[in-house]
Amino acid sequence: MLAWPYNAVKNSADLTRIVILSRVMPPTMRRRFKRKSRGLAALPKGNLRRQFTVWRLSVFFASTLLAAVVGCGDRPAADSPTNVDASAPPSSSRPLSAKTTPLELGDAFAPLADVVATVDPRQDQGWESEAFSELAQSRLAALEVAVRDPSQRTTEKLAELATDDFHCNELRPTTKEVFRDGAIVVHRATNPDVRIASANASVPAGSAALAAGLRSLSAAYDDVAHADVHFKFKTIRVELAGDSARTTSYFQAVGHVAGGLVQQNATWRCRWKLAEGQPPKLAEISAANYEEIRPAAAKARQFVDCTQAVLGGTESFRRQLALGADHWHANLDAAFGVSQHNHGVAVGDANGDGLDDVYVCQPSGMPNLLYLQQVDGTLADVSAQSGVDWLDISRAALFVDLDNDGDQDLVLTLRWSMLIHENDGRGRFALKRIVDTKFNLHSIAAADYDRDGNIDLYICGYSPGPESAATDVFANPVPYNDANNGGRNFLLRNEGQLDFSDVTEQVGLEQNNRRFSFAASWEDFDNDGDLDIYVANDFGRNNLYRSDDGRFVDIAAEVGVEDIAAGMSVSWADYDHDGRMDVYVGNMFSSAGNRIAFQRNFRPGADEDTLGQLRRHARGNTLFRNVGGGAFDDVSSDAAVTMGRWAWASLFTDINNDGWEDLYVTNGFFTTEDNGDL
Amino acid sequence: MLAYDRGWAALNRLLRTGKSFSGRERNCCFLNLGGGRFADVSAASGLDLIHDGRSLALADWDFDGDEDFFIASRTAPRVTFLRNDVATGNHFLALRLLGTTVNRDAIGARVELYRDGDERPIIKTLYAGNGYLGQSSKWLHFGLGADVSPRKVVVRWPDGKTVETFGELASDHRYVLRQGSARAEPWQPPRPALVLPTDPVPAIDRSDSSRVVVLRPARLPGISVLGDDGVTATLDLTSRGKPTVVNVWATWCKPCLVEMKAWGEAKSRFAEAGLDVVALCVDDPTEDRTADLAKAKAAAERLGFPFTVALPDKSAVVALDAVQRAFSGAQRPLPVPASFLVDAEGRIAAIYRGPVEVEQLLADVKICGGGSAEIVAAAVPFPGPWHDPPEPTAATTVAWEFIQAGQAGLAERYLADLSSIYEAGLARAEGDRERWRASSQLAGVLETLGRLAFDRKDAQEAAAKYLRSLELAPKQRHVHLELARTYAALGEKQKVAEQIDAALAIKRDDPENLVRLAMLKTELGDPNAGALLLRESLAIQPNASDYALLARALLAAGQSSDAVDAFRHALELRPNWPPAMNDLAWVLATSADAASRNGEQAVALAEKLSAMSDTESPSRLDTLAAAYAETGRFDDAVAAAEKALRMAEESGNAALAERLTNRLEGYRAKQPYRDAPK
Repeated sequence: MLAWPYNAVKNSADLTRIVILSRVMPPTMRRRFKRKSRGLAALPKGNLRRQFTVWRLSVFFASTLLAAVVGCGDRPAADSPTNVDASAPPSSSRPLSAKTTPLELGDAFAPLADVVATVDPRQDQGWESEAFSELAQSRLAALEVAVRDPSQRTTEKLAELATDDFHCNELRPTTKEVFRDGAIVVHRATNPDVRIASANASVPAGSAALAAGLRSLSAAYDDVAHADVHFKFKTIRVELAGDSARTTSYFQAVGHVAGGLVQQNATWRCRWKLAEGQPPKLAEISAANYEEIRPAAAKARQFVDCTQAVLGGTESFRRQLALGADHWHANLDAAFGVSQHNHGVAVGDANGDGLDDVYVCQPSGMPNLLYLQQVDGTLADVSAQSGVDWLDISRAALFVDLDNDGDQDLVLTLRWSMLIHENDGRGRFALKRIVDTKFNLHSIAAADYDRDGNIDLYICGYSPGPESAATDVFANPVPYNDANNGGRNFLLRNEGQLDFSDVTEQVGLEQNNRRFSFAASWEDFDNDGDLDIYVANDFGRNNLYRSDDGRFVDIAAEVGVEDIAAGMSVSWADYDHDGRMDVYVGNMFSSAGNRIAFQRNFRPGADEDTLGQLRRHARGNTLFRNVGGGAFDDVSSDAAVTMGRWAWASLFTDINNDGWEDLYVTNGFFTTEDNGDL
Repeated sequence: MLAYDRGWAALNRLLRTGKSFSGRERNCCFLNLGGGRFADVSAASGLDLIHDGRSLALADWDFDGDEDFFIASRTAPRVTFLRNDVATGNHFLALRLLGTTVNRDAIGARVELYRDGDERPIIKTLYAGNGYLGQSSKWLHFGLGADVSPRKVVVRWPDGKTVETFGELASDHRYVLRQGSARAEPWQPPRPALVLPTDPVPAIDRSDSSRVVVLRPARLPGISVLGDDGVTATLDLTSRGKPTVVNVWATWCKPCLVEMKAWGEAKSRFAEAGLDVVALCVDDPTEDRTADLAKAKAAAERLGFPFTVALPDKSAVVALDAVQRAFSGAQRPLPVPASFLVDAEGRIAAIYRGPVEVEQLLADVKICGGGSAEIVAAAVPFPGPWHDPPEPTAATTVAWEFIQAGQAGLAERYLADLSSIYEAGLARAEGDRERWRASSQLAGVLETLGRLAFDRKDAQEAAAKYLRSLELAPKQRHVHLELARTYAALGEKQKVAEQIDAALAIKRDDPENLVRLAMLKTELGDPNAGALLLRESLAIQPNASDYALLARALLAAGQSSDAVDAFRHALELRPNWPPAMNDLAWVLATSADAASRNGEQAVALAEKLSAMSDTESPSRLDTLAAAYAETGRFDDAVAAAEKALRMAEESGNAALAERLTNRLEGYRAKQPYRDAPK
């Protein structure tokens, strides 16, 4: 007999999917997207960056846990009425709910309460490992005090943290100098292998051993009492087994010495003893990969913040840029959009005086800013006269001479449109072309791909824009770890006279072109004389399009640079001086993701490929070494450049002029007044 | 899928309401030691900015021979300038390229620098746009290391053929390299290297007070207050003929009292501006509300506050909270004091969290009743041009906030109120544009009312609202789908099909609904139409399960040879898929159409299927029996069918048992089974 049905979801009467979507979505949202409304949404949707991490997302499938990264429930504000001070009116408004509890304002998350409730790992069945990791992290952080203050390092006090048979290897082992320039010295452990001293009478055990270990760490500082040492741990693995547990954490300590800061880096593998009703105790610490960075001289100089000197003289800095995004979102109608503040900055010579100037992209409702460099190095705000002080949400801008007339024209991506402005040679811009798309535009990468002497533009369209959003109700990435429902990227060929034509399809760039692209960068990676392009995509695979004389083929899979992760940025450089350009990709790193994605109860039933991709999503940044012959090696771990935290921009730059390209990574997702995050 | 989307929605909400998430992360710097493994020098370098970092651009801003950083961030200050003050004793060379036959900026040029003694060059490419949303200076900056001089520079111009060598270069100098000149022209900065001060930046991340101008003034929800007469009544601000400030305060809140005193002193200015005030006291309610009111009035009187004082009930506070959440980009709890500027028609024009100055109120009164251009200008903190101004937050968003607060009843009342106003507005509307606007507003309200009615299980009313909404604004695809869902709940399949059909008429490229409609049509007795729709869907999105559905529709339509093809397609896309294997075997064994039958293949498929599974199912045995019978193996057919019959009887499947009994008779009579021709 015939089997029936094939697929319950296909049952004609089963419209549940729509039913429930309507519950989580503001009824007005679809309308707003439907009209050509520039997607200014009460809840941002089209432009979502990953709002939460893979582990938690994935867990939504599995059932539970929003766990550690949010790590914060909806705590009621606890200010007492006595905090209200009439002498300081602006800072004294107080949440009404704290006082008017009888009014019971209601749960602002009601329709999503079940999901939001999973933010607390302690409430979340099956994720004891997360609850433990929170505890372990706080126990490790407590060691900081014992390093700073010898009086806290007594065996009695440390007995609360360490078991009687606690052992550790040298927390600050014997090192050798591996690098020195005029500014810093880098020491590394002579033996990076971990050796735990075996238990014998001559080696102290228990809290005495811990005290000795911490004392050796503190010896890195000339005067530890005044060094203001801070510890930071990122716990990336947790294994619970009965009454014991193991953790792996990145350890970092920073403190002051004469001439600057000392930084201690290591990987700590810890064993813990658990007992009912008691906080866990350390049974073992094995410190690996110890690295110590010290100032090279008593007056070594590093980077310094001169923002105020360069920008502080302008009113627009004081009144606009000196205030954070949260301030502005609180002062603008939600219709202006609540972004994650993905706005770029461009350096170029706008007025042709030979000095670089700066253009700053702003969120919706705030004017973009053009600053001209003065002879004294300060910036002067000329936005109002520039012709490019758009109030529209602006993502990225480039200064490029599009018409080869010797001045820098300006291209700018707004939310769904790209504007092309012509420079009059003196830093005043006239809007010449508007490229409207259906996609949420982000980075622009310019190059003359067809070598005709005119600069062409590659534009990243991150997610579907208004029209698609009206139909694909939720334009969330699907599947999370390998999404292929994102926006389109465009290659616009410069036809001269500031005319552009869309040649994406014609040149082969339509291949794998529905990813969530944040950034792209041109480079001739195979040294064959034409420019190839690498595209970093959120939620999955990246692209490397090889140019064969202006015809492109995506060879990312073939040469192993797909880098399935949450790609945000791309930077090329020959970091190893072999004459071939290597590529560094900024991704998201998450300690919680690392922990959870390796637990047995994480997405039970998922296949190994999917699990691997999800784990990879938490690993962090990637360095691909170009080994020639069209091949790349992933050297990220060996090069120790993965842990760039929740990365956004990443760039190669030789910060110390030694001829070797260093790396800088900007990061951090969402810092608010709420301090509950991990 | 569902949990996934809900997860995104929940996280969006958490962010908009100010939950920190992967925040307080410090930027990272990895130093290239030249040996493959980088050193994490984030803190030691002074580069570990703690902002939510986003974009990054580089330039040697102070002309001291190293690269400085401009960093765009989400938290304050939103632009930071970090000056590279790393003193290493290393040398540099800076080059600016000028194209003549290639693009003027020479973007894409590859520059090879040979130092004295170098066999291999240090290579760099000139980019325009890399990293993330950023653009760095077009000066190419080379670190040279200590005690080495540049020997020559080879430029591969971006035309893929021109290679040019430049000599006579000195360390720590800047040169312009003009294509074709063969000579590096020294370039002098207009000033010596700068030493910039490092003054602190006065940065503010958020402020407790805020002001939001509502882009499209929205009706104030009905607010029940206890007034002077001891009667609870709805505050009617629609017919006062002048604007009103609704202030929320408490007797224990000192800033409230300061504010009220200031307003009282400005009484005559309020009068001149035609601005009225109603102050709602939100002190904890006691049993005796009359006494509460007396207490509030006494407190106001002591301040010389001459305006109306009233006590709101619980729903009034919920309403005001919902309103401010709906319109403010950053959602925070309703504070005291808070004020709502309501225009003469009872619409909210501006929302103030925290105290508001008299001057501000009097200035904002002018936007009451203003046109949209005036309102947009007042709503942005700084002036500028719009390419594409935002679509205002729809008034229905207020209802959504009510729903979020678990107050569906308030939401429905608000919308019902709104719909009668919009109906009246529509009746008055003149001109196509105004009528279009009025009807689309009303359509949105009705749609939301439909959803709310559906949620409280009144499908009849929901259908009525949706129908009216579609009447006002046809071509709302999502409303057609909502209506389809509503009819599904009412069991009206024909109408479900009509609505899905209407949705498809708006967007044909929609496999999910094409399939859904196909199934309905088939169910409703038109398998030919179903098959056509399935073919349409498969052309967009080929997949095994839809091919199997197509096969079923074709069978129902009596086209068995096409059905066999469709099953084969399904199995190509999903080899060894049991239900399709079974069904194909069944058709091959039993089709009334001789040309469609193939007993050998049927047996092969059915045997393979039974070998694939550990457990036997009566329906698959049924298929196997039919296949044996078709090849003349009647004994095997009888054995399999008897087994199937036993299993069907044991599991209480009487219908199958009856069919098997009939078939068994045939097999025993050496007659293969035939499906009845359609």
